[in-house]
Order: sequence, then structure tokens, then C-alpha cells
Amino acid sequence: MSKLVLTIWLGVMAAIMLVPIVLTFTNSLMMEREIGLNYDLIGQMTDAAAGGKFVNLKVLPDWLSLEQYLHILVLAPKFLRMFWNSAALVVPIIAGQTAVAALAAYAFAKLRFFGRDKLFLLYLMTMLMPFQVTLVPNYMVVDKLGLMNSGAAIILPGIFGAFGVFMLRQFMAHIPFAYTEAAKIDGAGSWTIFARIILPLAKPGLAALTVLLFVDYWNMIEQPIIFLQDASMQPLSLYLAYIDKEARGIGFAASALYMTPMVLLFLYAESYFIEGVQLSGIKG
Amino acid sequence: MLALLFLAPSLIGFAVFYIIPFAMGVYESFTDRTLGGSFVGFDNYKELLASSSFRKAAANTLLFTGLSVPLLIAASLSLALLLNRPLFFRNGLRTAFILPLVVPVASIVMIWQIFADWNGTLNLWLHHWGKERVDWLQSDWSMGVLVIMYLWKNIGYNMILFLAGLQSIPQDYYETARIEGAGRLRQLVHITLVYLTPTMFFVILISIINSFKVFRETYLLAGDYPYDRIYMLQHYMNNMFFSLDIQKLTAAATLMVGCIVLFVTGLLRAERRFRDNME
Amino acid sequence: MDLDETAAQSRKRKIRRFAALFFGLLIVLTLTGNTLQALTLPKVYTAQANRGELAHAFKGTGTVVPAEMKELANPAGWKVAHVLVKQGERVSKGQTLVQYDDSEAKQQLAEAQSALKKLQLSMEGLEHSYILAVTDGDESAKLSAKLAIETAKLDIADQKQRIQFQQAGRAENQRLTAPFDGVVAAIGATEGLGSSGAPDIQLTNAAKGFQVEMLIPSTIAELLSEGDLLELQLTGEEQRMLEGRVAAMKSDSLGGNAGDLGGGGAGAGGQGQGAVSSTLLTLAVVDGKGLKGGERVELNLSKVKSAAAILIPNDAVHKDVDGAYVYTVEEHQGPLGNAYYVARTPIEIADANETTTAVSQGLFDQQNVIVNSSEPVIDGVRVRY
Repeated sequence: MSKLVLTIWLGVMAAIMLVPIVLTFTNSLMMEREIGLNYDLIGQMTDAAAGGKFVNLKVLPDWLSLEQYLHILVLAPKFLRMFWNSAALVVPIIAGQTAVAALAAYAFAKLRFFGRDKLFLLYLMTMLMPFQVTLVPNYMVVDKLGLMNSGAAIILPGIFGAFGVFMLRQFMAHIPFAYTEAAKIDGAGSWTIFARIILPLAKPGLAALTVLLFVDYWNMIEQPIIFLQDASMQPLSLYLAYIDKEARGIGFAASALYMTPMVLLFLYAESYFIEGVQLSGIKG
Repeated sequence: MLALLFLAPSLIGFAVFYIIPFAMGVYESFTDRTLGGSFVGFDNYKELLASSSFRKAAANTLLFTGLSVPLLIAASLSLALLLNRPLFFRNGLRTAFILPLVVPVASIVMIWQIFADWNGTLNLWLHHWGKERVDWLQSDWSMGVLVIMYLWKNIGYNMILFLAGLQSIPQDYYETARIEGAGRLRQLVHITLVYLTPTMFFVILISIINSFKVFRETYLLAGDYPYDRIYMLQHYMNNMFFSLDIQKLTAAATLMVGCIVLFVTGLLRAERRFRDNME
Repeated sequence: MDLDETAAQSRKRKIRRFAALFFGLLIVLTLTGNTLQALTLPKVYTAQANRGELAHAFKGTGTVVPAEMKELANPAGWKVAHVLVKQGERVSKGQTLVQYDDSEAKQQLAEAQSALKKLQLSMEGLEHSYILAVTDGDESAKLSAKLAIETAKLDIADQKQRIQFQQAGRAENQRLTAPFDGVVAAIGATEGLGSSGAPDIQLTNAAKGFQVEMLIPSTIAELLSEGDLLELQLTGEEQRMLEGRVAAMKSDSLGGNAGDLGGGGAGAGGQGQGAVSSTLLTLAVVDGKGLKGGERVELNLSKVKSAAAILIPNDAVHKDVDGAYVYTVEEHQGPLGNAYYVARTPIEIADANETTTAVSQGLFDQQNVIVNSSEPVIDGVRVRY
């Protein structure tokens, strides 16, 4: 297989992978009427016998229009409010989990203490659990702490998620002991080593964690359904889940805006992200 | 003690929001009602296992994980192998395959809907080829749609993990093998796959985590009560929660955790044995 | 490698710039959201439709006037010598009201009498000529003298009659008397002056009573019929109630067509009262005792025409070839919050007064109708509300 053929072959595959993303953007430039005309049949049970009526995904709009964007950004300020709701939940989680996890990961990766590996295994197991497993007790804890129906009910468990600890521990384990030993000989304390040596070297890991956490929480569905009954506090991900027939006209633009921060962050940190993910995957 | 200082913030929060709740959950699962119920042994579990919706949900979850994880691993490994060859625009292609990972499910769910709907594009194609249309989301095919969505989203992540694994295999192994006259397939099985095994364990772990997260896709695509075939354990638990059937929920959760713990322990043991063998 | 590095750097810079732009835009839009909405969507003001009875209210004042009034003119145009009555005085039939200066008539009479004397004197001359002619035996002179005598006799008789007539006229025109019992309403005569054109005396007929006239909107007039009794409030020093009976209604030709159901006038978007047609209402005061005429009375009318209906302000009602309609606010619930759209709602007008329209069909209780908007709206336009 020649290099060119392989490139083309993979290129086609990549293009297929990108289809949903590209379509979301192109469809977001349609007018609401066009969306209505095109996708009206979705979700309707038409009689199979009547047949012949299908909805085709349209690649390019007939008329380029920013109508959808105008609608959601100007005419319906609720979209922006929910966008910021999302941000207000995600940013503290990322900042918190990264900080807390970096500390713990350092302990797991570079310090020795009794029961280290057992404890780490516990983290690993917890990380694997679906959200629903701890749903009830979590609900009770949140209720007891008086956090129900507030952002904290989502943010606090988010901050202490096990994934960050796991990921960063994996990454930090790759940092050669030589660095820390050299610093130790120079008389640096653990904190200095952590702040001056480990953290800067763990930058790709932190970047990868940031991206992955962003992906995970920017997307969250399960937690807000349970903990945020108040519609005015719900994040955008839930709203997009509720897009029904009526709002389909603006759904594409909402989706496009919703994925933009993610895509930007990823493209910005891509090389770090890949390095971080790859190092975390190789046993240190 | 020093380590405890670093661990403390994480440990406290982790205990409060995960370990203690989980312990409470396990306890709840043996009582007859929430808070202060009396101990009823395995009654809840009996009831749970007798419940057809639980069995259905468990079977679906198992089926989905059992189906999608191997498929995903196979697909991402092949992709990684291809991407590891000489290529034009390697970085661009790699980006394109990872991009679905970072795109929020909620924002592309509409596209999937239009694609897989009864009147959707997929059926349009079938129609063009003179085939009967299929109700993708309201039949056993719905699991297939979910698997596709899962593959689409996670293939990039596993691919970069495998790429790292591949790049860590020293090239002289292959050269030696070639000199010894080993074919492509032999090289793949005896060198590539063997040296990829540590990565593989990690990939399996991550893939399972992510296969549990497919609940989001299902929820967005089909709502609270989707078609039978994609009614997952998470749906079951969520709905138990909303119908306040806490005992069943905690029992189901405990059971699920038990299975996961067993599986991971097995996996880790296998890994250790593998590593011992390698050395 | 270096090239790659710089390329990556510049890509990052681009992404950073784009991200800054993106979030900047979102922040700006968030902060200015309400303002932008205000700029793009017209604001509407609404009123709630309420079930109720439409009262036609009217408040107006009028003047009590005598039902019959006689204008008594200076019969001969003589100068007024004495005015014997005062305004408001009650007079009885035959009473002298004004005395006129008859000196001119006296003069004329004297002249006529002296003319008669002249004629009588010339008669004597003619008789004398006749006697001469008879004695002379002049036949022709005798004939002509006889003719002259006959002529003179006729002249004298004429003159005598004239004097008699003048004497009678002088007696009659010397005074103005009341033709019936009544009250002096106005005095036009001024002592020492001749006729000024206006009647010297205006006398009201006490027997015929008083009446009040006022213009009322035709919409209310339709609810009245002849013979209805209405209450009148006497204003001024003496405040009491009077009763008036509807004596006559005459639609005023100035005010639109009378056949239009009032709603027409009122429904035209309240374009002023000018469009409302009016009716001249005449009320006969039932018990006019103590009235003199000229008193101010106030009429407070409140009439309910139709059964209970949905009431909306007139400003909300629009009309075109398809009939009357209002704009209502329709709420569309969406995941992005509620949006409001203008909806054209045809209505059937049952009744209307100057401010309110009663709608028999098309609206329900508590519905909001648009009475005003920051810019013109039409069916289907999205608005702020």
C-alpha cells in the first residue's frame, strides 16, 4: 500500500468522522424555515405504506443566514445564561480537580506511604463506577450538606473526582526520579519539588486532564438532572437534550456554539493533550 | 505523614463524596427502607434479580460493553497501525480522528437523530437500494446505533493510546524479525500485540469507563425510557431513583460495583502475570 | 523542527485570538442582551379583557328653557315711553308691558283734523258758489259746483275715517300688553329709543312649562325612547332634582350616519369624538314650579345596553375589510424561555361607548389585548411583553 493511497484512504475515513461536526456547523447557517422544511418529519411516525418520504441531511444551506445565531444570542438571552451556567459549573470543577488531583497524584507517584497502592486501587475502582452507582448516597450527602439545588452539589463531587488523581499519577510516574532526587540533594522540600519540578514537567498531563475534564463536564447530563431541578440554573447540555421539534430550528446554532469552546481548547492544547494522554497510558 | 498533607484535600473530598456514600449505599441495600430501616439480608437482591427490567437492563449493559469494547479496541488498534505508517498529513488526520472526542454529545445528537430516524437519512439510503426501512431507534438495531456512536466518539482516544504504545516498541525488534523471515502477520502477533499488551490493559479500562458513559448518548437520543434494547443499567438506576425505589437502586449499584471490582481485579492480576512473564 | 514550532506557535496565536473574540462576543451579548432585545423587538402594552357590562355613560349640562316663548315686537315702531315690567316678572293676560310715545301719532291726528277742517271750509266755499250759480241760473256753473261739492263730501268722509282709524291705532299702539299669563324672559325695549330690531319683550308661556335641550351621543340616544323619565340635577344656588321626560330626539346631521352602530365611531381606533354622531335630545321638565328658565341642569346618564360581554379598550380594536379584530399576545413556550408573538384575533363587536368596546365573540376573559406598541405590529411579529 503506497503512502498516497493510504493517506487518501485514511483521509476519507477522517472525513466521515468529521461529518456530524461539519454538518452541525453548516446546518447552523440555515434559516429556521429551511430547517423546518427539511427536518420536519423527524420524530414522526409516518405510515410505511405511504413511503417515499424521507429526510435527507442537508450539507449546504440554500441561503446562508445567521438567523439562528441572532435568535439564540439576541432574541433569547436564556441561551447565554445557560451557556454561562455551564461555564460556572465546569470551570470550578476543572480548576478544583486539577489542583486537588495534582497534590494527591504527587503523593501517589513520588512519595512512599503505607497502603499507597491499595489506596490508589480504590481510586481506580471508583473512577470506573458510573455516576448512578453512588447516586442515592450522594444525594443524601448533598442533601445533608444543604447543597441541593445549588451548583455546589455538582461542583464539589466534581472536584474530588478520582479521574484526575489517576491520570496525573500515571503521568507523574513518568517523571524520572533523577529530577526529584537531584532537588532533594539540593535540600529542597517536598513542596518545593512539587511546585518547582513536578508541576512544570506535568504540564502536558495537566493539559490533557483539563481537556478531558472539560469534555466530560461540559457534557454532563446525569448530575444536573438529579441535583438541579431549578431550570434557571441548568447547564446548556440539558437544554440541548430538550430540543424538541419546535426548537429544532435553532438547535444547530446552539450546538455549534456549544461545541466551539471545546473545539478551541482542544486545538489549542492538542499537542500537550496527546502527549499527556499517551504518557498516562504507558505504565510508568 | 508528609504524603498525607498532599493527599488530605483529595482524600477528604473523595471520602465524603464517594467512599462514605458508597458505604451508605451498600448498607441501604440490605435494609428495607431508606434511613433507619431494619436489616433484611439479601431480600432486596432477590427482588432485584427477580425484576425483569433489571435483568433486561443488566443484560443490555453487559451486551453493550461486551460488544462495543472489543469492537472499539479492534477499530482503534487498526487505525493506530495505519496511522503509524508513513503518511502525508499525519497530524491533521490524527486531529480529525480525535476531534469527535471533544465534541459534546449534546451538540451532535440532532445529527444522529436525523440520521437514524424512521424518516431519516439512513432509511432514505436503504430506500434507494430498494430495501425496507428500519426503525433504527425502536428496534434491536438501536444497540447498533449506540455502538456506532460509541465508536465514533472514542476511537480517537484509544488510537492515541495505541500510537504511544506502538512508538514505544523498538524498531530493531521488527528488523530482527524481518531478517529471520517473519511475515507481516507474525510480526503483528508476536511483536506488536505482545508489546502493546500493557497499553491494552489501560485501553480496556478506559474503554469500559467510557462505555458506561454512553448513557448520555442514549438519554439524549431516546430519553428516559428508550427502546428495550438500549435500556441500560444506568437508565434503570435513574428511573429507580425517580420512582424512589432506593433499595433496588442501591442493591443494583452494589451488584454493579461488585462486578466491576471483580473484573478489574482480574484484569490487574492478568496484567501482573503478563508482566512477570515478560521479564 | 523550528518551522514546525513557529507554525504551531502562530496557530496557537490564531486560536487564542479567535477564542478571545468568541468569548468577548458572548460576554458583550450577555451584558447587552436586554438592550439588544429592546432594539430588535417592539414593546407592546396590553390591557386585560374583562367580563362586564358595558355602560353608556353621558354627563352633560343644559339650560332650562321655557317650552313656549313669545316674542312681542314694537307694533308701530314707535319710541318706547315706559317699560312697565322687569325681567322675570310674572304678568297676567292683558297687562300692559310697555308704553310707547304717541306724540308722532298725535301730530298726525292733528294734521288730519286740520285737513278735515280745511275740507269743511272749502265745502262752505263750494256751497256758496252753488247758491250763486243757482241764483244766476247758470246751468253749467251749477253742475260743476255740484260735482265739486260731491267730491268734497267724499274727501271729508275719507278724512273723517282716516282720523277715526288713526285714533284707534293710536290707542292700540300706545301700549304693549301680555297676550297670556307668563313671565317676562327678556326685555329688548329701551326707554326713549325706537325699535332696535330685537323684540321688545320676550314672554314665556307659563302654561306650557319648561324644557331642556342638549346634544348627546347617538349611541346613548338609541337607548332612550320618547316618554322616558330622566333625572336632572339643578345646579347653581338651588340644588335639587328635576325630572324630565324625553319629548323629542332628533339626530344631528353633523355627526356621521345614524344607522351605524356606534361601535363604528368608537371603534375607529378612538380617532376623537368628532366621529361620534350625536342626537339633539329635548326633555320636558315635568314639574317646572319655581323655574324661571335659564337655570343650568346637569344630566347624568348611565345606560346598559347589552348583556355581559368581554370588555376591551377601544384603542385595542382595529378594523379592516375583513371586519373588526384585535391583536393579542400569544405565548410560545420554548426551551429558551417564552417568546411572545402578535396574533390577529377577529372579534365581533356587540357594543361600544367612547372608551370601551364590548366583544361578543373572539376573546375570552382575562385575555391580554395589545393597546399600544412601540412600533407598529402585525400578525405574527415577535414582541417584547
